[in-house]
Amino acid sequence: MPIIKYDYFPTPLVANKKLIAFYYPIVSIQLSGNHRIYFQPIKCVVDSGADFNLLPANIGEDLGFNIKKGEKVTHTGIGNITLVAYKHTVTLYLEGYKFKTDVHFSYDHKIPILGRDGFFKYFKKVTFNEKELRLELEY
Amino acid sequence: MNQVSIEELAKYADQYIALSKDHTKIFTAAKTIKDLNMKIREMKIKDSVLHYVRPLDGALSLLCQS
Repeated sequence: MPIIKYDYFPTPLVANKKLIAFYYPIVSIQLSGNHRIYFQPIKCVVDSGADFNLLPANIGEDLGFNIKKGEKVTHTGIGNITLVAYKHTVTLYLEGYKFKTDVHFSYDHKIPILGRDGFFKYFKKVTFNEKELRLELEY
Repeated sequence: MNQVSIEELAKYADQYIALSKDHTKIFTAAKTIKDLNMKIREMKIKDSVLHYVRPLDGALSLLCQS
């Protein structure tokens, strides 16, 4: 069974007044939708705490979607912070694997996130190897 | 080839960057994706990857439910 492996990607963080590398499970995806392919891959955080895929609206606009014509969805995060997003269907490409899924595009959100319903469910097994800082996606 | 260092990435906190696919070079950066894409087109950059460098202070809790 094919397994796609990614080393966690280092992200700068200041902790105790020192700059450190904090490692995130981040993957590069390609997106297409509305008969267009987004012109560059997008690095997204694979977030097991997220229900759905959530991307900045500008990406959807570049694909030619009329963002606010999509189904309106309200997302709630830690501390009950809410944001509004709009659902559209895209094709997501990851290495040699592709699938049709929904992405929620939001004007209030900066970090591209892949969540359980729109991403995890397309894999047989998703493994976060925190010891080796490696993500494994089996399909 | 060495990947872009944490110190280099930190210069672009809270910005979108066009990163080379092998992660060794930051081509350009901007506060918004719209501005970044304009720069990419102007500079005729090919083979970049879009990446958001998070703010340096505070941890992220990415839980999102609807």
